[in-house]
Amino acid sequence: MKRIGLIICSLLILTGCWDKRELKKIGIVTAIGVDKGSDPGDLIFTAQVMDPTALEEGTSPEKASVELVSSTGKTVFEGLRKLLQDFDRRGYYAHNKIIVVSEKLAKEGLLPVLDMMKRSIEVKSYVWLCIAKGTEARKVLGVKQEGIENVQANYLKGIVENKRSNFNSATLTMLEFYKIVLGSGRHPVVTTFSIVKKESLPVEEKELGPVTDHVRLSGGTVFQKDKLVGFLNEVETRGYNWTVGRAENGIIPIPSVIDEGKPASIEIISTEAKIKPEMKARSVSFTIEINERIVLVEDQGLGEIKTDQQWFLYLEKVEREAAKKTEREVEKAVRKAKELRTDFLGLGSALNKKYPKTWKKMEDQWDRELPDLEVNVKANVRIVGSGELRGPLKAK
Amino acid sequence: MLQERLGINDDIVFRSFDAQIIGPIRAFICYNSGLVGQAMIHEHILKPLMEVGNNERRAPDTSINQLSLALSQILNASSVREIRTIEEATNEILSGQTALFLDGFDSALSIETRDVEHRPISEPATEAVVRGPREGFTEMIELNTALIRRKITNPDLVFEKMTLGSKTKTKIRLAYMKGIADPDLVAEVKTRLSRISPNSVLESGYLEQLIEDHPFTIFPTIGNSERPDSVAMKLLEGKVAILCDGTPFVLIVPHFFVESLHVSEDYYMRPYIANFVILLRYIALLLTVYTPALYVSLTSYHQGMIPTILLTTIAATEERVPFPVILEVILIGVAFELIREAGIRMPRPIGSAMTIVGALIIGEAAVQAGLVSAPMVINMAVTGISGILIPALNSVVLFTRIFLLLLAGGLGFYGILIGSLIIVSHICSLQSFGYPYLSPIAPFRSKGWNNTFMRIPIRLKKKWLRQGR
Repeated sequence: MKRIGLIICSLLILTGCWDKRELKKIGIVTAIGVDKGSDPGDLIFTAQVMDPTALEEGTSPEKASVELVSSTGKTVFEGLRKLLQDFDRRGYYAHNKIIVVSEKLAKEGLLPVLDMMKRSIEVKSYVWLCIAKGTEARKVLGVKQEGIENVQANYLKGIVENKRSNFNSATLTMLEFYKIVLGSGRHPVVTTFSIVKKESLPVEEKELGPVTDHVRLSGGTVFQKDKLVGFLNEVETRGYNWTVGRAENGIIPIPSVIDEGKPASIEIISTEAKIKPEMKARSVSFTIEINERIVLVEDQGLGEIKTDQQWFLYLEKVEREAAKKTEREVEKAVRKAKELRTDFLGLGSALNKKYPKTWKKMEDQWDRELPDLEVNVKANVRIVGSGELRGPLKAK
Repeated sequence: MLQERLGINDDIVFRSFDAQIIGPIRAFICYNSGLVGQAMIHEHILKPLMEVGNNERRAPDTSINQLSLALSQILNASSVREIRTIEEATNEILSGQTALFLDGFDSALSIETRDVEHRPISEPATEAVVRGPREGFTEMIELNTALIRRKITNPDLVFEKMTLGSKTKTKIRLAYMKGIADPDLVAEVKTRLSRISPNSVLESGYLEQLIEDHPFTIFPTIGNSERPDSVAMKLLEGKVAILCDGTPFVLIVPHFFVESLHVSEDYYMRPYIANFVILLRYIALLLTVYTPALYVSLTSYHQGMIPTILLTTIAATEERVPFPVILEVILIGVAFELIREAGIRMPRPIGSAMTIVGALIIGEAAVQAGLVSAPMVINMAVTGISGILIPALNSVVLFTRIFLLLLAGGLGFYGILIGSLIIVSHICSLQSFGYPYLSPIAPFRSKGWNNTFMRIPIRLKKKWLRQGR
């Protein structure tokens, strides 16, 4: 009996944290934004809190599905608790999908800002980390969503995840950011939001007028360690995605090989990237090798293919065009890396893997020496299909 | 003397006459008017005895010592037995025999004249089947033994007679298959039955509670059935059945936990559908035990584990309810049990309809009134319906459900984990007549597994008679 009592006691006492939260006492936070405050050293913390009753059937559509609440504090956690002074529900962060940080704050370093979120057990590590380019984080959270999702954060999350079939932008979760920043030989490229104006047509019945603000996922933000140093445009971002093997799916526009001046597009099925460092007498050179498998999905050129040989040559040309395009994009990314003196492509970590001793010697001045490195790009393309059509068609 | 003991009873009849055996002898018979067939008495006792000139030929021996022999040749009743004490005579009369007393003899005769009105054999209400025999046990023990005997036409099937209850003198029959049932088990059952001395045994439940291994557990360690086919099946597996006069429920020992999840029909259906149904019952067991506890811990501790959209929907409905979730579950749980109990006690025809309609209406109205949330009603409906799938574990699931619910309300998933561990270790500690209750899962017996979570096709079963032991 004594033993049973002991077991029960230890079951109850020797446990971790215990916290009961009734569902009606919490505010479900779907997105967090952090901005720089007006006073130096101040942070503005913004939480997007979901209002579940707005999503219930039968409520008036005018009721907004989310509330935006902001407060200022020296630290993130202070801001978070200050929120409660003018908001009735305590935030629940486990359903947070996105952390948006403003460009200005990111220039000063992200790690101090993220520290609280990484410590917290509620904020999950796989939330998307995003930079508000040229605007404030709370403005990104405040844009009325254009998509189908009812909750704005889900809309933001949706466009971030669309990167899967469109590699014009870089995406990064908080966990990946930490992994890259705390490792060596590579710098992170973070998801980037910008606000663009968009004209709407009458059928959309926009209340805010014919021109509305609109969030756009585009390019990437380059960090030197945890400090923002520059932005990539879409082509450079594609080059980045090729190199780090994140071009899972997407469209490459190429010129039609059968009908000059007409466009065509191919779709990526799978890619694989390898960075091969090579030791030379005095310096190191790199070959970025990209193996891709593609499908021809569109050829607007008109033409006719009669024999198998012609067909074969046609496909070979397409492969060549695709390879050329890929190489050009990667080269642009390399040029940008050299220009920013920031190795976001991971050349350093590839060197570290193959020649760790050399890397040890070069580690400290790596970014400075980056512009002098020789980087070759090579793309191997294999076309695996052309849809339901065998070759282009031509009206007779 | 006999009159002293029985005379004040209105249902005991004494009738005096002159028996013509070797000349007239004063005689009287005594019987219970409600338990005997009047025609039988007339035909088998009075007529042969009173007809003058009929008996001399058949009773050549005049020795009074050979009374029974003489009379057994005269009386054409099916069973005649000599009795020597008043006590014995009383018992015989009360159980429906007719006692014949002759002047000048020191013993009496008990003559089989029983003809008790009984319920016809009908489909058992508790274990309905789609495919399988439609007969169920009745309240008459003789009929019940006959029903089993008809399934197993084999002299190895033994019915042992016992009488229990110092006041009720209830007839008990112990049934087992000689050669299949473990002799130790049979001996154990006999010892336990002989050790108890209840005043009355009105239903087999009296015995069950007196001979079970663990009187303080919620788990039934003795099985029962109203179906001759399932009792026969268990007997062939080597179990012992205890029949009790006056009830259609036959006790079966030993009883294992997994048996509560099986029905005899599983063996009549083709294996594919049978296995699906068995799987369904296991799922139902988990659902009915865990659903309320999981719901409470998810909504008050682990909101991060619910998909966001679902969480929003639940949160929206909870928004209108002023109570904590655990209180809601208790509220609707009590309402559900009330409706269920009412459905059972209600006159048959409106019972089942009332249960469903009542639950729906109360659920709907309670949601409208803001007493409980709509997901809660679904949750309770799932719990209730799953519970109905496993009637044998009715009390078990109710108590484990409440136990886990309270732990979940106080500790979340951690509480569910603790509760499950306590329940599982408790089941493991149980025994049924010396056999581990959780067999064949723990202790592990691979041989028994083809009957536990699934049923293998009968063709593949080589030693199927000995399975389950």
